[in-house]
Amino acid sequence: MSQAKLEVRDLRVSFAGHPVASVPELNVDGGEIVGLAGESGSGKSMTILAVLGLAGTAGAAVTGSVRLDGQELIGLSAARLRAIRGRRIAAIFQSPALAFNPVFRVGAIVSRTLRQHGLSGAEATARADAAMRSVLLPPELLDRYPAQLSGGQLQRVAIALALALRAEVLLADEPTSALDVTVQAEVLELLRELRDSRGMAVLFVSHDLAVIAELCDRVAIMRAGQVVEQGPTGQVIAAPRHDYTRELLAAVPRLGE
Amino acid sequence: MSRFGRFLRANPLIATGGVIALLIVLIAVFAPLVVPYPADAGAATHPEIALQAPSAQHLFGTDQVGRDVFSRVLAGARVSPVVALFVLLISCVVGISLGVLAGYFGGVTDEIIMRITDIFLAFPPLLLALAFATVLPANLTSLTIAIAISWWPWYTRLVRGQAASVAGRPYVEACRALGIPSWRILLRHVLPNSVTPVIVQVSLDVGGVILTASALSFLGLGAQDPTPDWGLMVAEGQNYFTTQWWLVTFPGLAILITALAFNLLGDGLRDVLDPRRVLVR
Amino acid sequence: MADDILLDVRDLRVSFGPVRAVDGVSLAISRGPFGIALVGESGSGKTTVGRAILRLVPASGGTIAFDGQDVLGLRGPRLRAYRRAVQIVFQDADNSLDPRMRIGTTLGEVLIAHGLAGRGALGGLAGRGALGGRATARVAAQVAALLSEAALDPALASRYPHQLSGGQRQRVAIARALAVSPRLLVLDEPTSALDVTAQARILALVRRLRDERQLAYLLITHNLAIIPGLCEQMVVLYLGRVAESGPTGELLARPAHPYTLALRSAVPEIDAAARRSRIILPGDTPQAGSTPPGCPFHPRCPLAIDVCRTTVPPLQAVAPGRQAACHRAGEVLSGLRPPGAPAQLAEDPGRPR
Repeated sequence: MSQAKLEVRDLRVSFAGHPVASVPELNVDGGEIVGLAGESGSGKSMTILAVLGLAGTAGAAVTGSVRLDGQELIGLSAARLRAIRGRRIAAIFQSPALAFNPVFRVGAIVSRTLRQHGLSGAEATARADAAMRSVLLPPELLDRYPAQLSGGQLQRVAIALALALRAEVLLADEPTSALDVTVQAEVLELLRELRDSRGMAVLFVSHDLAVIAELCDRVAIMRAGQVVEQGPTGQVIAAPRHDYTRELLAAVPRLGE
Repeated sequence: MSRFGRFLRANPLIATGGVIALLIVLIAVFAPLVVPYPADAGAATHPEIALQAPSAQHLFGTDQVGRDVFSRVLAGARVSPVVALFVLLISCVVGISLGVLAGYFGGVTDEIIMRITDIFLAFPPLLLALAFATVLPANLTSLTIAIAISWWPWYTRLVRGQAASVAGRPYVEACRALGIPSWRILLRHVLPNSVTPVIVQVSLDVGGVILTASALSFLGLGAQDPTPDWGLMVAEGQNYFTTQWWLVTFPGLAILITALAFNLLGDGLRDVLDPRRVLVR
Repeated sequence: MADDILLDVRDLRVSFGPVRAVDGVSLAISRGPFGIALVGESGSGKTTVGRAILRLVPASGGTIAFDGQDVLGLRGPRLRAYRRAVQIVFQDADNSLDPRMRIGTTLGEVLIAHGLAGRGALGGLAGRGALGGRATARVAAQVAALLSEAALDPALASRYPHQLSGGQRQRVAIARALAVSPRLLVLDEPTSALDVTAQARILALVRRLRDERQLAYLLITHNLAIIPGLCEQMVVLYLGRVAESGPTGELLARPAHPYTLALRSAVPEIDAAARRSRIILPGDTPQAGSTPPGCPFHPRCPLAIDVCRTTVPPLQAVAPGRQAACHRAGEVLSGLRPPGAPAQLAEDPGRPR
């Protein structure tokens, strides 16, 4: 059995002895979008941070295994994690404005990140421009400051950065929750594009089950730090096995009535 | 009682500050009964034993006219801190009221109040206090008023910013939408939520006021000799600092400890007053 | 028919300096039980309309009439009386309650301020302490009743807001709005910040209150999915203007405006069968005040033609009870749909400096 791009096994995140997230098994392959669904407090965001190796900075203790192409990430030195983070695993978060330092032009942040991962100035510019075009933004927008871009545009720049770095895995923590619904549709379309044409492995965290239903190939439902159910999206939604999943599905308002 | 004990253990800042402050208050209250040489706190002079180093009979030594420094330091607890108390009380009442009105109503009210405040702030505080003190008769009451006049604008400015921020918060807007009258909103919502920075500032200012009072007393505009004002004692003793260090050190320590105690108390109080804090119950 | 109208908004305009957040919006809210939804994304002005109705922001034009009486000119005791009849629940449940006051005090304050706590209850400065024992008990009883009505445990009255969950806080906000027994409730994105299960509870609560209290409400939201079942009528806003309005079921089934088409298609659906092909609008939702000439939607509209760039389409009837502001409304209503081409390179310049 070939290994998945990203393999999570027995991941446990806890704060001062209190467990906040526990994921026994989760695989994300190249060319698929896996969803992590749950309400607030379910531990889904902590899981993302743990995969990124950033849970420690939040004060959490992490045990278990997270493998990228077979390479174990938990326990790696900070320097080696830094090389991997961004370059091979990229992340986008709910509030894109927070990810960009407001005193720098967006392009400056992008090119600095690219150069930090080994690209020359010219290469960085070329890749950045190409990436911007991939997310359907004019490269001139890189000359703007974050405050001059809308939430949707900033989120797409964040995705562009992940593309420019040629990241293999994209972790997305509620990337569209703060966006208008028409803009959200654009960003979701973009993520589908990344999956299909670039073969990216995407782990998508959201509390919006409808978005997950539309976007994700497979889904894991989390509640109070535990994974209660997981499987192919269509199956989980059509035939939920856990009561909580049923409860969640029943609560989702449906337009198509 | 054990609940209180647990509270103190979980909040060492308040505990320490509170205990010392309590001590100072007790000393202030019971000073006349406790000091070894009550007359020395007053007009008595004993030139024959002047400038003696600390000893068994005179724990803090004697000053330049032979008075027991220990007695005077203890008695001083009734002077400087009390002046500071009244100064800060007056400043708070005036400063906070004006600040809340300016911050909440904005517009013309804000402009008028803040311009007046700015005028007062334009003067170096000591100079302003000085100016008023010169006009008034030289005693502790005048001293208190003079310093208060120069002190209140800082609180107005502090509170105004906070009040303006609170006035824009959703829960205040909700109150307006609910038809709750302005005076009620000011009193029950804006005021309690704007006062925290002042609490901390007041505790830091205790030391500052005492020092300002001492400067004015030194210039002869406030406490007069023989009043055992700590600041005055420091001022009077500074000429002897290198040789008879006890004249300056002990009153100075008294100021330091008092300021520190209230500082700790203020810090602790600010934390406790935040209802979001997880309290030890 | 005119007697049925509780709140009549005509040609409302609200400006913040040079920015026209609301640029000529009209809507009519019937007497309860009745629900109408005001739908739009950021920059549409929907929140501002709600605030203007509550007199929290000044209107720069148009009229608002409640029960036939002008609202915009109200002052003093009449304004306070209006504020008993019309109430609002804000989006930000976390911050719409004073963090330093207990829930019971917050609710009691409203009752006392409006003299609703029965005879003998003075406008106590210190709250409970200043009231007589009987009055305090009366207030407490009313507070408990309000909390129960909002499906909350009355014991929560002694808690602070941060000790409650987001859903509970929002229900307290609803209870507070109900304290004055309003006839019209404005709900400004009441569930946007909540988990889906908490949202379901709030929506069920609103439905129940509608029946029990004969309530009329204006539901301001960007989430189309919560509207059916709650609101009979809906109004779609874009850049401060009405794009279209009409009965909810009809409007959603057969839109008459391209924006409604796009909005509806963008809503993610759990049931695969209910999904429609996505209409991806280029660019981002424009900021309020950045209105282009002609139709405000034309830069992003997949069906725009020449006239759209020059002439503002008037809001006109396109079917009984339905209005739309689009030059091609008739065609859209008859089934005109944008071609399935992927979005072109976006030209939208984002926020101006």
